[in-house]
Amino acid sequence: MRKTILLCLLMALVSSVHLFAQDKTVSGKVTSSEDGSALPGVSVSVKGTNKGTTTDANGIYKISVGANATLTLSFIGFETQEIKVGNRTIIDVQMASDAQVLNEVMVVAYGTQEKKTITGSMATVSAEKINRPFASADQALQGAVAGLQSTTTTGQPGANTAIRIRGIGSINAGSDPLYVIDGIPVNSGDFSRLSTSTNALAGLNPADIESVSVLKDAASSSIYGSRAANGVILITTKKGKSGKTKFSVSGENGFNELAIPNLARPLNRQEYLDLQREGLVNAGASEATITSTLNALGAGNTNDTDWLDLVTRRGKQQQYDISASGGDNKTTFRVSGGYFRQEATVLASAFDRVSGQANLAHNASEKLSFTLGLNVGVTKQEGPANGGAFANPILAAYFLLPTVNAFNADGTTNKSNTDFPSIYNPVAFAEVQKRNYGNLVSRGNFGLEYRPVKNLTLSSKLGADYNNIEELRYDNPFFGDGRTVNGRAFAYYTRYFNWNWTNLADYRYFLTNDKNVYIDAKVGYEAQKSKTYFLSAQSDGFPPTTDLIYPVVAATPKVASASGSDYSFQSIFSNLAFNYKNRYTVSGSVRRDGSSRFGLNNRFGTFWSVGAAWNIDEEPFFQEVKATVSSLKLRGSYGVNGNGALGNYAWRPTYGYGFNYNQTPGSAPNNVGNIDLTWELNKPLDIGLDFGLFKDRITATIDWYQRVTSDLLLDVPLSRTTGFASLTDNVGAMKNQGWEFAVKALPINKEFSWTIDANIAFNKNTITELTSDNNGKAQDILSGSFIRRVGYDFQTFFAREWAGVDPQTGAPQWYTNKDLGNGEFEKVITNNYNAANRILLGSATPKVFGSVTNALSFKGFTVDAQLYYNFGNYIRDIWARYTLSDGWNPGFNKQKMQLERWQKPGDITNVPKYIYNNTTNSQEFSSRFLFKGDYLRLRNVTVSYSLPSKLINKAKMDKVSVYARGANLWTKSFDKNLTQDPESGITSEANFNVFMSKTVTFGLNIGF
Amino acid sequence: MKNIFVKSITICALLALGGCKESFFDLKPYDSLPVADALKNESDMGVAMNGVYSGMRSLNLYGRTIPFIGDLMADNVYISARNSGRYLPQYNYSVNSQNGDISGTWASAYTVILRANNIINAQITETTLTKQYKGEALAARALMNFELLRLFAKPYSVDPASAGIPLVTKFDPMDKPARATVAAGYDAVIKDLTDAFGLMTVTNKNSSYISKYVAKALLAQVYFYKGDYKNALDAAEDVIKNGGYSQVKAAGYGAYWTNAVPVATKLETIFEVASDAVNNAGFDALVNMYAQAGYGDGICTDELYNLYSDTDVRKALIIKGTRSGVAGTSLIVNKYQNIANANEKDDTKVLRLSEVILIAAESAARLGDETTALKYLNDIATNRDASFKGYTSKGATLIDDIITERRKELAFEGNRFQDLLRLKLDVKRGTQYPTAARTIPVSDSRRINPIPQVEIDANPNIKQNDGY
Repeated sequence: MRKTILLCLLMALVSSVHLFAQDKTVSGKVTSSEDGSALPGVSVSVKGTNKGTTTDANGIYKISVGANATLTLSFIGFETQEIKVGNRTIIDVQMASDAQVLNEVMVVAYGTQEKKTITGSMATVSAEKINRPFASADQALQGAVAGLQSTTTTGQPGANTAIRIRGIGSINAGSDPLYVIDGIPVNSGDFSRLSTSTNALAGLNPADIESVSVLKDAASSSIYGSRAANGVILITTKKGKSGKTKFSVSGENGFNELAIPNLARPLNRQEYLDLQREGLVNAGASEATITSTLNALGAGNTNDTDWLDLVTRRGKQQQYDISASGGDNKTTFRVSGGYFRQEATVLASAFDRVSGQANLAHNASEKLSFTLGLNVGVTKQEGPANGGAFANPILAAYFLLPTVNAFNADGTTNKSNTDFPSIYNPVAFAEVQKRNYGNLVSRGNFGLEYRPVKNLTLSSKLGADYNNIEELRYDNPFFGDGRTVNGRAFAYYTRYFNWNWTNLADYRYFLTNDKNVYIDAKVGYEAQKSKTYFLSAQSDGFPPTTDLIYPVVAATPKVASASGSDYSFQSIFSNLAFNYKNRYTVSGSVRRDGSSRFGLNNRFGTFWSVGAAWNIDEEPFFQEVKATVSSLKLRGSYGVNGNGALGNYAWRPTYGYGFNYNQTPGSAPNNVGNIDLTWELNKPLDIGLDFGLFKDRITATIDWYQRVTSDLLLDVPLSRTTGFASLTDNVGAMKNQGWEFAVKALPINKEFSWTIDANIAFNKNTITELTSDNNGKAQDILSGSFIRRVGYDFQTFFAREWAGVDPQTGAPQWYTNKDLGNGEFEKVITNNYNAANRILLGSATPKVFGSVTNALSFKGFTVDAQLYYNFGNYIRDIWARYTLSDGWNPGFNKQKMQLERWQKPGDITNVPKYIYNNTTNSQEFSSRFLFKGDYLRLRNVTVSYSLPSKLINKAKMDKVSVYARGANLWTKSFDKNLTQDPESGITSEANFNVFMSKTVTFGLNIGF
Repeated sequence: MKNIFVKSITICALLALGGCKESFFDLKPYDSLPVADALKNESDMGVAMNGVYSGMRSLNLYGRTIPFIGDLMADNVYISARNSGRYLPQYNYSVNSQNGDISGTWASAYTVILRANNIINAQITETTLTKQYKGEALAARALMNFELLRLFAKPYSVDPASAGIPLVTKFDPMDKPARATVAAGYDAVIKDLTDAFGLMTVTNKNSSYISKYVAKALLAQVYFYKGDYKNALDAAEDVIKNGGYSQVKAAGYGAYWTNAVPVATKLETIFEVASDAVNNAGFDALVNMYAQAGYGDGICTDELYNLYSDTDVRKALIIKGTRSGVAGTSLIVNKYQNIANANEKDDTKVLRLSEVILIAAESAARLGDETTALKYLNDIATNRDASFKGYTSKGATLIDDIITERRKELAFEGNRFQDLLRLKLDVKRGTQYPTAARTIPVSDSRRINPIPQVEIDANPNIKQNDGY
């Protein structure tokens, strides 16, 4: 033993002496080709020897080499370079990052993948398109991905955004995509119990997001099994990059105003009273009755209140972000903090968020690495009630009479219960109401990666997401909802805790020595459990003050309750891909899922996909045309996945408790149940073509898809005589079929550059199967104002057909539309609402939507503008029943369109004669209150100027830019009779929500 | 290398298998039991019976709609010009098949029937207590069917052979029942109440529970509405003589209506649906329709008010007050008073001894026994008004007097419209109602509510009423 060591030492000495004799010293600076910054920690070694060093903090290295030596420079995240030394003694090296060198790599399910080898249909949205002046990232997805519809019904900051990918795929189960953040499937959506609309995703600072991948078809998403049917959204947060520590600081300030002001202005005093007088005359009232009625409506005073003006305002907006990231080739990190606040255009509606994120990655050895991610968002939100609630300021703005004063003579708000018998003074209410929502969202994950041999990665990742929601609603004892009980308060705590554990083996096996043919195999196991905890307290009888708002001071406890709701998933899955020279890729996935949500008889299901891609541009024969057609790829996929978004306990036939009497417990059947109930089955077929022209100056993606959803969970309507309204069963089927086009072009790419980014999506939804009656005839399902009928779009409005106003009498008219049995309807005009039959009218789903984005840049200036468009849907004005009631409820104010009423024979108008206490039913739902939903909206505009680097480098800065940006700056809707914002949610039925905002902010962004 | 690959797959598979325990998936709801575990013994039946009673508290039933529209669709109550928008179609006779209130009544009544059916059909060893609960459930089912018949079918007096209501006696989610005739409906209700009377042994729990003589009193009412005055009189007199109930006297009349707690003294109330500080309809409670601290939309008509003499204790339950935003005085209904009471809420009287006495009076009069009729009528009339010396009328006048007394005694309890229907009388309303809805003749199809559109849509076997 000793001998051996001695021998080794001797040999080492000899060889070093030998080497030393011929050595020279080479030095230089290593910088990043991206931004010229120095790269510390780069490994510099002499090829074929064991000699090596690393660069210092300034990127400087010094190494002694022999003759004809070759230097090898390597660094994580950068392309490894080999440089022949030759006669040089100073060698400065610029290193290029991997991403620029390799094929574009995309975040896919359970990993990343080179774009060329992807067989599925997916899109990624980059950080700069996510970081918009919105509260949550999903709002920024509007228009960003072809075929992804992102819409909301409210301008409430922090509210829920509905996402539909490739149409609506379900009738009664959820239609929201699965959200996966850094590999962890999370709970998403609106978890509030007292608030009008909230969004768990608003707890994630969009500025912390690196990219969003949207998985649309079987090959890309089926590996998520029973939750993939509505598509999958993968959110990847920003991670650190090795290199010098970089700081970024940004701040912006701005304001929110009504996106479309004054659409449906309520009547002023004179207009309102004149109209009532006319209505009373039309009703045949005597002069005495007219006088007394008008006096009761406020004719005796001189008040003229513009309630709409009083409940709206200019809201402030601000956002500040700071981050630091960096690391070396062993450890990388990124930490960040952010603050965001947005005030809506309506009183007492605002959102703010304080957020922080830390992502850490460490390579313990070449084989073992760890990752740790932590993301915390503390959000606070206040927002008014919506719909018909008396406390809804929007309702108040349209319903309250202009003859009632908002303020007393001394300037205080008018809280008189005489003046406000039902709907409250929204100005007074906003002063003292509390409708608060707070959510502490935290997401954490810990990952371990072990690479025992080359090309095999074993990984395990444990993740959890917490939503800790505290809500308080306080109704003061003096007026409003709390008046009759001397004030009341609700304090609710809601906790969503979800954990997920994924174990994955990922192996790449090369079939040939030249590495041109390989198989990628993934095998995994995943378990997930989500537990929800609800704690509810309510008390009545508050002290006569508005300063004490928590139930602790109240006299009468009313509700003290705790409950919960849980679900679990457990799965094994695998993905196999075969690749030949990046020319051909064939992929397949399979997943077996079990869930607590599925009935005893159908607890486990198997889901799969197959996909293939042909990179035609890699074919030898294609090289001739490559100058024109720079890339060309044909791909297709098919598979089966599921939608498990059903109620946690929907399958269980149960007796519920809480039906109490005389404060003793009571029970009653509360769920019909169905032990066969299970996931909805979705079969997506996708054929896509990706191509690039002129060295990819123009790139485009075309997809045709069809997804057939069957075993739809249907609430089969039951005869109400059974004691239940419906039974949930897997019966229906529907089909979404469509085209998607996305194109990106760079018409000018000089000092002045111009980029156009556009997408368009057409989707056609058709219901293909519903429950059948005894004769086998499919039964329609009526749901609110919609009919679900085989052969028609899922969201088809079903209503009586408006036939306008009789020019002679001013009476409302409808078409009888009696079904003549031969597919035709009797078009006889009637004045009797009940004599008219309902028919199928248009759909609430747009036929086509997308966006066009133009980006211009010249020197430091950039302008970026995204125009969103939406065509082909109909919008229902729910509240026209009151605001355009033609006198049915004269005690509420009307909107300006009511002034266009019929007044004398010969008048051609769409608004009937105004009759006080109108009983013609003209206010009831008919196509009179359906409007075309076509619109264009300037969704995002950013104008920025970056100071020249020469200037800022002197100040040791990397980047200084000033910018102005805006959202919803301009809207054009095409139906002149539409008096509401055309963006009105998935169902195109806005419910007197907070008005949409037009946002304008000005900011500064510094990097150093 | 291959080995490692195989090993890792094996490890993953083992993990998967190890985790696939049924318990991982068996996550139970926090507020419910499997159906089979909910009705296993007599205690369970008692709990389920509470579910039946609480169902009747629904705002669609006795909680609000039934008592409110019973006066509104007649001539006792109108909706103020300043209102919250509730019940306007009932006020101006523009109810259609999509009307939420009446659709709610249909659904809620059948929900109560389901709850009752499960008790009636429960396979539990029979004991005195299980028989009692089954009797309560039978009576509850009968009561719901009776309300449905009166709201959705032609009165028995108009056409007993016309379409009544579906009679549901067991739970079958796929059942799409057709409407049985009105006569079959009355037969079923009478049978249930007769069986209930036979099964029940409890005669006095408190006024918020169904006991033996509640079934008998309901039976009297059903016979009465059927026009079977012989049986109505027999049943009513059985209740009066053997039920153990005592009449509320003039001196205690005000206190009787102020009290919101069910009573075990058998004073006046035969059956009421209880609301208390915890279990109540909140803003949807009936009191909010009348009290000016609530919505206060329902105002007493001048015609009704003027029927009461100044010495009538019942007049004190109507207050000359002001309706905010309305000039002059308005007649505020004060029969329900516990709007701001944090400890108790008004119960809804379903049946009172006074009504049973008036049933006996009218039945006797119809049968030609005017002496008995006058005795029962004056029992009420002189009791309420100390200075009134009593009726002495005969024949048609006597009947009219009884009807008027019923209107006065049972005002704001949902009775008036049912009397006009039963007696085939036109609804004649004063100038406080919309011009177009002042006279609703017997022939007017709007007197009968539409079968809800949702029922028509889900149940092809059901036929809509005329005019809808």
